[in-house]
Amino acid sequence: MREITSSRKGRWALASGVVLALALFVGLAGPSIVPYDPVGLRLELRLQPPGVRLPDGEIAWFGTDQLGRDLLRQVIHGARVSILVALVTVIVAGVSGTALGLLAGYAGGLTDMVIMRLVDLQLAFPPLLLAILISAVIGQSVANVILTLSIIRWAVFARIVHGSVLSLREKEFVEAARALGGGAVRVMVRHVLPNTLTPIVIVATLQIALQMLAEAALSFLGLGIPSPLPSWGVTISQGRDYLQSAWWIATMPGVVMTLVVLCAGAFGDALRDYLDPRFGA
Amino acid sequence: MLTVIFAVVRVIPGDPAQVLLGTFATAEMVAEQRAKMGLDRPLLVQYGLFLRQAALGDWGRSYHEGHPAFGLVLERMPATLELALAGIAITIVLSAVLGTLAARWVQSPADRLIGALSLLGQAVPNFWLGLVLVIVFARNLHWLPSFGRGTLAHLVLPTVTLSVQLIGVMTRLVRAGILEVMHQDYIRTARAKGITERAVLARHAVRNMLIPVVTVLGLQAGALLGGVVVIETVFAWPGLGRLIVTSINNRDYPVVQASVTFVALLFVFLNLTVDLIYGYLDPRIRYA
Repeated sequence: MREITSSRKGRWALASGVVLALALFVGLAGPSIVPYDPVGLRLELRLQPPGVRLPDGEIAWFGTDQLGRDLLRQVIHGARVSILVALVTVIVAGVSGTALGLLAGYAGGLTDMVIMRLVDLQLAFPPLLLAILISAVIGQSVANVILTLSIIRWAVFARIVHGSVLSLREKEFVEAARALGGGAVRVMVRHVLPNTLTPIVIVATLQIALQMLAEAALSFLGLGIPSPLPSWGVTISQGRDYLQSAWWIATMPGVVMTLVVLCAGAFGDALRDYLDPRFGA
Repeated sequence: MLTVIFAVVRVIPGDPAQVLLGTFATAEMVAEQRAKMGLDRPLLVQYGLFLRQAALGDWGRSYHEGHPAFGLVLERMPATLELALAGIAITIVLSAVLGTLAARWVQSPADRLIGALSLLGQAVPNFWLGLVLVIVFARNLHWLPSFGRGTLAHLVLPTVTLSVQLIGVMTRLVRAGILEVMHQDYIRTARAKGITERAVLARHAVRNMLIPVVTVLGLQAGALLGGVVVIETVFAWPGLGRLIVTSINNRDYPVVQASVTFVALLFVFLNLTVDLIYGYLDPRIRYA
């Protein structure tokens, strides 16, 4: 512990980890502790500024939105959607990308060519643009957002894994495993995969921040999380029509989101420095 | 690429003929409209026609406005180019200056401040930043217009919004690049010759660390073009991104196809430019 807190970098990593853990806790447990009715109207309480005391004695720390809903509660419930979508898409994209990259690198030949050309094709297309196109095609729902965001990221993982598998494949220990009669799947999973995990973990933590931003951008354009469900992007998008009269609707979820994304990025950086000191400067 | 775009666009749910005629159209009217638009033909025939026409520069007509889709794209292209180039220009200038400052006085308060700002820049959702800038600079201070295109003042907020993220990435990269280069032998030689620290940086260090920087700039162009789509919506900027979003909502296939293709082409073009810049930066790189 002292080792971590003794350096400035360590303290930052610790602080960002604590904020992330808190955000994760709020996202997972918050909705069950703090009730929120996404379709409940309280028009007499609409557009109240942050810190105002509501008639029921409660203080609306973040203010209320255009329908009188409490913004803090909306942000807490939005955290569940935003964080879960980011986590699940990184896992789906990470697992499928890793599997395909592993297969391409290990099998070689035609399999390699087909998979890696697909990766090239995908990486030659601006990711957010692809996400916009796909979500326009498959329509709006939480599951579809997860599918869309997984599709736009798998290629990143596939390329990284492919690169390390190409060099690992020729190593003596892999040859030894094969010589001992290990089948292709066993050699891939038990011997090659564990040695590619460090870069995968590093990329995955950094991708979580990117996915949160992408989900918010999609929802903001009206192509992501469907509206009555609270998500940070949806709330910001709704606040757009009230910039003059109620600045807090668009501002509050953005501040929270910036903080969480910042901590995810900082934590990813710290993890990278710890796991692979050569990776960054 | 054309095939992928055609396939994706055709499976967008919703019938464009229905959308065009509105909810009160009869089934016969819709069928007639579909025939007029060529939507009643088999997909393969539609695809063949699409490829032939695209090669001839004819991208079909907008279902909505009746104008040729290609014309609409050309009309919107300058606005997007203007925004993207302004964003890239301001990114190059600012990240070069900030990154060099941070590397020159490494571990100083200035370095820490620049580092913190660039981390923050990467974390801010850009569409949200755009809205905050509108609240502050347009609604409250009345310094800058909040939307539309026209004067140089209109360009300021969208450009800043678009480039903040990229500036964050590039500043860290420039700083790391310079710090790495400064340990090289030829820098020591340059210093030993007695030239000033400023000349060492400007004449010897900068050019050699530019190659990785330019590479990342090319890769990040994809994020930039994705950002353009979102930011054009925030600022009602009349460019390709805005065209894509409105034509997706209108099920205007020809316009979606043409505009997405051109944004993708722009991405390829930016990466080609990067490859050509390599040759200039490092004369040892030659293309056969």
